[in-house]
Amino acid sequence: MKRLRAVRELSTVAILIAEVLFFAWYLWPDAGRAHPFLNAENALLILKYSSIYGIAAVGAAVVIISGGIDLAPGAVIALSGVVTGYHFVAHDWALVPSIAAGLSVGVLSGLLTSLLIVNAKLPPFIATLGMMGITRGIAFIITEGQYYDVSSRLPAGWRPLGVPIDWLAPIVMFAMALIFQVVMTRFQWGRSVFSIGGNETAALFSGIAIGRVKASVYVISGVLASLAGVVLVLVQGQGKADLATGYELDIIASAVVGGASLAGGRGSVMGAVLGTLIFGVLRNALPQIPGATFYDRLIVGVVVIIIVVVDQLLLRRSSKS
Amino acid sequence: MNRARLLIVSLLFAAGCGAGAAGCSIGCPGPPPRTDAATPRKLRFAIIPKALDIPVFNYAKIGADRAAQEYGDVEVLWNAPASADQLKQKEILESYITQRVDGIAISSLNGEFLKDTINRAIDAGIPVTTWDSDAPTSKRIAFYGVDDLASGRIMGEQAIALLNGKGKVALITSLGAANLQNRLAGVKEALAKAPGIEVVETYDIKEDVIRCAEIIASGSRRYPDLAAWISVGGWPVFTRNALASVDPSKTKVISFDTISPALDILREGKVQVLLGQKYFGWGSESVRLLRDIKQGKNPPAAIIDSGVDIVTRDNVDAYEQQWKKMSGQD
Amino acid sequence: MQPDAPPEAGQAILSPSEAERQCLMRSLARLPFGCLSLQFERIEKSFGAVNALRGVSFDVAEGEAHALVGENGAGKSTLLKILAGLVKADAGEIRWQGQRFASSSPRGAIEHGIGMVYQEMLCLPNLSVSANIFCGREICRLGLLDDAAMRARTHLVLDRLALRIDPDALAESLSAAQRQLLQVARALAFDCRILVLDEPTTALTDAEADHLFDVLRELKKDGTTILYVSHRLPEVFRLCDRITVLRDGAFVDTFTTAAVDTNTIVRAMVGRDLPKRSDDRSAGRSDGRSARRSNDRLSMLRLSRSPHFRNISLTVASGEVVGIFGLVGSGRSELLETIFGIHQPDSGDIQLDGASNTIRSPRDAARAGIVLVPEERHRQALLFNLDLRHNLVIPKGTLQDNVLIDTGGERRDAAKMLGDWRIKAAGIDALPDSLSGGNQQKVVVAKWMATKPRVLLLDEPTKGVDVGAKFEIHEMIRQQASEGLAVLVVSSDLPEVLALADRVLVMKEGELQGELDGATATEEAVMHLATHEAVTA
Repeated sequence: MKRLRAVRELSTVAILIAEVLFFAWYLWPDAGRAHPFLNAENALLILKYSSIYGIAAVGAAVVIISGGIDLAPGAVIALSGVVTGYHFVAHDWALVPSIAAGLSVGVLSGLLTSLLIVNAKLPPFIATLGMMGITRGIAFIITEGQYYDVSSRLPAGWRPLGVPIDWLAPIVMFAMALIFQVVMTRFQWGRSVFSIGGNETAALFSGIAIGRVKASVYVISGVLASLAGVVLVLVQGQGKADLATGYELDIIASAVVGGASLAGGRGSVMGAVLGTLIFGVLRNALPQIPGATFYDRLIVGVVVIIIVVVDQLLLRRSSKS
Repeated sequence: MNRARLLIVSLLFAAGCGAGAAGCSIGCPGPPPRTDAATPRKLRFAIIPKALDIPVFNYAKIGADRAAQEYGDVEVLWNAPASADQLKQKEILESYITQRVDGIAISSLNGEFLKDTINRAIDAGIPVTTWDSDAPTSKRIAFYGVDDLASGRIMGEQAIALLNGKGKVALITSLGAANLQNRLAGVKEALAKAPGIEVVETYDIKEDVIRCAEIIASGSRRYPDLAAWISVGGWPVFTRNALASVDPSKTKVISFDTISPALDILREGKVQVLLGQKYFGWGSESVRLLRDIKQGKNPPAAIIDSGVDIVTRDNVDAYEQQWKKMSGQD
Repeated sequence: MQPDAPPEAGQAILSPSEAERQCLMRSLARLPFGCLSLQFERIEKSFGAVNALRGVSFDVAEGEAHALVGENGAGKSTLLKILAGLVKADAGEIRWQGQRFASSSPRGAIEHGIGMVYQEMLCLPNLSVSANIFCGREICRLGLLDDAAMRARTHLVLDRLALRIDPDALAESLSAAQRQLLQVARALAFDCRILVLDEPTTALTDAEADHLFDVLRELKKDGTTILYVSHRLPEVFRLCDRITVLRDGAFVDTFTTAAVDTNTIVRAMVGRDLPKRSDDRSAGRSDGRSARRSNDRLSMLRLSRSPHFRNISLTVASGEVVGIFGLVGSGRSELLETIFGIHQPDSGDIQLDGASNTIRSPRDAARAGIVLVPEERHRQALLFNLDLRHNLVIPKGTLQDNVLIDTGGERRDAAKMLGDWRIKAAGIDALPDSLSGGNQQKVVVAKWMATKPRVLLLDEPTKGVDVGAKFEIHEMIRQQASEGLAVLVVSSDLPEVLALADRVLVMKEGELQGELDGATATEEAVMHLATHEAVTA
């Protein structure tokens, strides 16, 4: 089992490295120019924009490992940003309470989702699809199509936690990834999540408190998405209702590319972050190829299929051994 | 055993990327050849429209590609968010800065929002021009596009002429973009000069063509005696049926943009006046400007008025001929 | 070959004319019926390590009603599945009307005129009666469904069965009996030469069963051959001309009904090597007996959960092993699951050491000291995405509410468990699916025993388990009981129940039929209780 996990994560790292090397070669500049892709500034940019997906992908990985799915992260990111902006800009709250308000969006949406799934026993797909609509709808209602310009109220050259603002998102992402990697592997709770995802009936029969664990999984997903939303609004400077539209698919794809199986019981948080980076590199490098702009969706789709197919093959081979 | 799996995975991924790269048959020259000092290197210009799904900008791309082909030493990188999203456009702009392109020409979704990023590009030594929609408060070197205020005024004057100075008028716009705001201001300014004209409502259709059709239908029902629709963007004429509910004998239509099928709708009589922008020029002029700047020739003025083409039944055929020539279709 | 001698089993394929000749000979010879319509010849089938069928051979004559009986696990269902084309035999052949027959799919069986009526209600509840009958074989005209033709044929079939239901009625509106007859109708709607019924009366009342028999007798008169699989000997004796008995996957004998009584059949079903079994029994019994009656650890009073079981009252004392025997459908698994907290009972009381317990979930049950080794370990007991170490320590860790995982401690515990239980595995990092059935079962038992329970519930503990592991598990059960554990074992393996239990309870269709003392109960006595016979023990 450990061997399988190690191989899977190793292969994700290998894919990322292969991708970077490929683009480094393909985009090699003519003599006398700086490399457009392989430079520190570009790397930071990739991290900065991927981290928003990455923070939410950590939550998505946990949900998918538990055998569920969450379609709401994009909408929660938007609403959290809107609520933070609403309090900070329109109601002149201080920054920290505004952030707390934004994070509470994730807690509430997570609680509501878990009520729908655990108590009302709705299928997670349907429940989170509904939550997606509700959250996004509330965001539009609050903003009425306008947006909150958070950057106008932040001091220029503001360094949150003492670091340049562009570093905030990656730092939060890696912190969350580390925390949850530890929780999933070293805490009983994390193992319960794997058990429920692997075989919910057997987990129930083994004495695991299914309801409690499943509820906490969705709350975590909500909180992480709202954390991503708060970070987004601080880094980008705007709280808008149409932010992060469609992010949930990229987030889920990142988790799957990183090793999470949609059937549940398999995956890793670190893998999800690596998956986010794989897509981030793709999104950054493709537009540098003339004419390739329109191919990015196609390539992302092909990449996801290839990786999932390879994953299945690896799984089947190791279970036969 | 592990190594074999990694090898398989890496090979498969490389194959996938290869397939994707091979798939870019249009304009994808493959990895750029290593050039020596003798061969001049190509200039990489990033041309960024507001979004990939706004049809007017496709002509800008054609113009840019044509200009690049003519010059021979220019490579056009055409990129934008899939649909209008300010943050995504900012992200794309930022990535071209870190990727050290040689020049950027952008039609900003929100000029104020992009101000700081544009300035960063300028400071990093990358020349930036704007087209179609300006970012006037930034350090951009030049803006090529219509004088929106003037164009709006022209539309207003055309309306007054058509209506003989009397009648109810409804306006269509999308809130947010500065250029549309300015056009709207121009229209209102011109209409104010005719006391017999009453603006009953200004509709915001949020850059959504379908919404535009809905609004025209419901607006026509609401104001049965409406004398004219004035649209500062081409939404009513981007599809054939947006104007279906309009009765040309009772209501006149004046719209921006001459992109197909606008000219056909004009011929049918559903719209009377079209204002054409220099669509191909957005692309070709931007490439020329950037190239000149790179060679040390700065433009004479910061604002370059491209001018508008006023198209009516009388000159539509000549206009179409010219169009075909510019898109390389003859 | 002599003309007046019957052909031996296992002969080469006969040419049709030869078959006809033999047909004629048989009809003049001892058998009262005509040609052999269905012949099974040395059918073998194994599922992994389990031998489901070991060279079974017998014939069914045309126009007769032939019964196939045997205990659970005797191989009846497997044989029927092979006939229906759902499963492929490893060896042997089936001959239908003298010609070699091998259906590779259910459709093949249907096309040969073999109509299967299954035990489970294979009904499409949301479709009408005629849609159910013609499902998969709709009558079409010019590519469209010909409802009129289908309805007309449905009418005919329903009349033949004297079933007064509307062809357009939805299947879910029918009673259980009607749905069972709907199955029969489905088989009859097409050219059916042999009707195969698998436990058709399980869900029927006596009156409804009578109706079914009338129908079957009518069909027999019309010349349809009937193969009737059932546990219920009274029915078999009412309906059938001959009875074939299977035991442990092997053919025992074919009897002519008129020539035997139920005792003979029962004896054939349970086998003759009883003395060996009773040795086994008394060896294990003595320990349990002395510790018995020290105190009632687990007791149930009038526990009910419809429709699975009603009015179950029983006690298990600390140190006692109580066995519950019953055939499929008797509600035993549901009973154990209810005690374990998976389901809530409708009424009745469960008490642990004399105190009432509200158990709402398996977690509560395990916390109270009641643990369950479930029947389907793949579905209910093992986590295939985690290695053995996790599987072994999860119940203990979960119940102790540990927050952190003590990797070192867990690995030590798991390794010790592998050793203590003699579980043959590559190591604690191996995955459960690399283990044999017996070792997997040992993992399940081990993980629960690590929580030091007070009541052990076992549901078919040695199903799909090899002989060696079976022995070890039995040893463990006896050992634990002698140390004071209260054990409740549910099993349809009669020798197992008799070997383990201090007291044997028999359940049938959700109710307790009776109780027998473990030391003195005989297999026939238990079988009688379980198969619709009056209590004689």
